Amino acid sequence: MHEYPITEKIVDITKKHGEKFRASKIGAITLVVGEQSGFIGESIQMYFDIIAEGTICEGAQLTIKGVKPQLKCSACGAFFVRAPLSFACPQCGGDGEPTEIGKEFYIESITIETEEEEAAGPDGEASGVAGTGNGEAGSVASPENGEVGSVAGSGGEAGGAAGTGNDEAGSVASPENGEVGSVAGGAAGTEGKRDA
Amino acid sequence: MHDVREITVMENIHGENDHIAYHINEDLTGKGIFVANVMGAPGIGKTTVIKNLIAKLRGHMPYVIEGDIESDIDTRALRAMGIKAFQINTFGACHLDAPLVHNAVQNIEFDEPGILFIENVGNLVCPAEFSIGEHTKILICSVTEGSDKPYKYPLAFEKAGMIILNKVDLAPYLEFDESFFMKGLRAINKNAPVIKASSKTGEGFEEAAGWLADQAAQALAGR
Repeated sequence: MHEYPITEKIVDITKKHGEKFRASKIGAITLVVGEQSGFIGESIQMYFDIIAEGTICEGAQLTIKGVKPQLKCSACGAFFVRAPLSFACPQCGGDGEPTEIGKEFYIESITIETEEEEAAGPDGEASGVAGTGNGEAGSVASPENGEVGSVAGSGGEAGGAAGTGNDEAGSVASPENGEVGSVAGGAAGTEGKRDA
Repeated sequence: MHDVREITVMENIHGENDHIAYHINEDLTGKGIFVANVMGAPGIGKTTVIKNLIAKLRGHMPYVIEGDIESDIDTRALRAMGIKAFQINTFGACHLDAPLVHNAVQNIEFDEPGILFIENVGNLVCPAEFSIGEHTKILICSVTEGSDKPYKYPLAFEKAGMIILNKVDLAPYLEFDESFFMKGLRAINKNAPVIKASSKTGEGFEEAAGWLADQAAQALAGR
């Protein structure tokens, strides 16, 4: 139930971007779903097949990249995945403070198919076309490949930051309080589905 | 012949919800309405806490939106007390989101500045994930839930602006480990006041209402 309306949103966003590039079909969608986002990859997958039927998203391969939540030690600064019933840093025992790593919930990329004669650039300006996978406009910072970019925030704002090792990097504008939150740097790109 | 390309999207799936939440907050702030998103598990005492806070918040016009899967029992009880109360039924959905709250707020006449309590659906998980236009989140928990809740449901504790530890009058009959509770809570939320309260004895509500009034004054200053 919880994932149904959010999966409709995923299909809507994908269609919007596909139509911008006059796609005849969406071949693949890559989602980044932090384990603390509250959404279950398997449920999204199940609803996706139903909701996408009859749209350009029908039959698209859905890849869900899970991200384990990480805390940052307030004493030594280390990032770590917490043990059950504990927030203590495994290195020094300090308190782990929450980070944005593990709260991600965004569409990373889509693969579009267009008829060759219709293939064209976007009608809008929002998306960048990833040429060789080395990170053009709009990609999230990741220490694994040094990409730099941003996630579009809901208020129409977007932030960006460079990947710097295990620091949190890349920013999302938060309309709730005007603060800038961050998108996982260190954890982005870990593939796999979360357990319920 | 097909052309196949990968398009980088990087779009937050919560974007539309957050956009609507931003405008709810902007609109209500402009009307002098401070918004508190009241979260907590079913049966924790959310409605009773709201009633007690309203009783202490003299000089602030109260408004309440009740979020429930079904029924309007709490809304009718609040209206019987003369409180302007409105019902959202989600019919299955486990939390309120910004579009639901937006629709409700559109139909409320805010006669004068005050405090709008939005009682979320009873659930310690999902409500913490959605902004609904609030200035602050109030988390109601209780000694009857057990002291491990900050460790099991960290997001709700992390996001709370104020935490009310309810039903403390029952503590003598329970094995609530307060130091374990506070240790976990303070690891993930350094700033929220944690107020021990009892709707039975009235303990704690003067302090909680005072904190809320201060927050409202700060949020609405210079609007």
